[in-house]
Amino acid sequence: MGEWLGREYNYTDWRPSQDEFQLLKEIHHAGDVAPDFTLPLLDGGELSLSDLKGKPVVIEFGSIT
Amino acid sequence: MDQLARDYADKAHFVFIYAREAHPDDFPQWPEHKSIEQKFEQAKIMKERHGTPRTIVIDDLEGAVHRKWSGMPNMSWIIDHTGRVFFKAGWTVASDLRAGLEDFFELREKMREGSTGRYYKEYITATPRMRDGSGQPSRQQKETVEPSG
Repeated sequence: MGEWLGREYNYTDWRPSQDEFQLLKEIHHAGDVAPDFTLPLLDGGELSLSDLKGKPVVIEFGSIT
Repeated sequence: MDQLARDYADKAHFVFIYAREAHPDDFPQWPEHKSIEQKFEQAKIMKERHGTPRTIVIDDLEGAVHRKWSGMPNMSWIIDHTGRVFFKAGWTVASDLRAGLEDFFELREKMREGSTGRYYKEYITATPRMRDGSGQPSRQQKETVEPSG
């Protein structure tokens, strides 16, 4: 399994990551072109961010916990 | 967030990117992902139990997209109609996003009326458990105005 900022990406125990917070502050500033992505839809098929141009897109990253 | 998605269903797209489990230690019934199949299964259960009008997509097992967008556990973004970052927040607060959308549509109206400025907003917000160097909850707001090109 891969590491991310010095620990397993899929960790078993949460702790706050200032590295992630610092990265957030440094990347993708307001006004920048957002990096495109293509991901599988839960219900089948795929979705690309670039397919959604024409309306604003509200994106939330999250999980159950 | 789901209420916001319902309120703006005709005006905006709403996408939930299922990333890694943020607190598997607190919720043993939702363990860390060890396979992409398990990740899909947990996402399906999440949808069945909680429902949502938002579109759910699944990041890969190693969070390729999540990491590219910093890896913060519950961040949110508004991407404008042209594909540019309009708003980013390190912690999802529905009322902040509602205000961001209201700003967005106000801006679009002003641009139709001939405004020469672009207006973007950043909420650099940490998770509630994170603190900045002074021990205060990390939060700051920055507004950026750029001349139109």
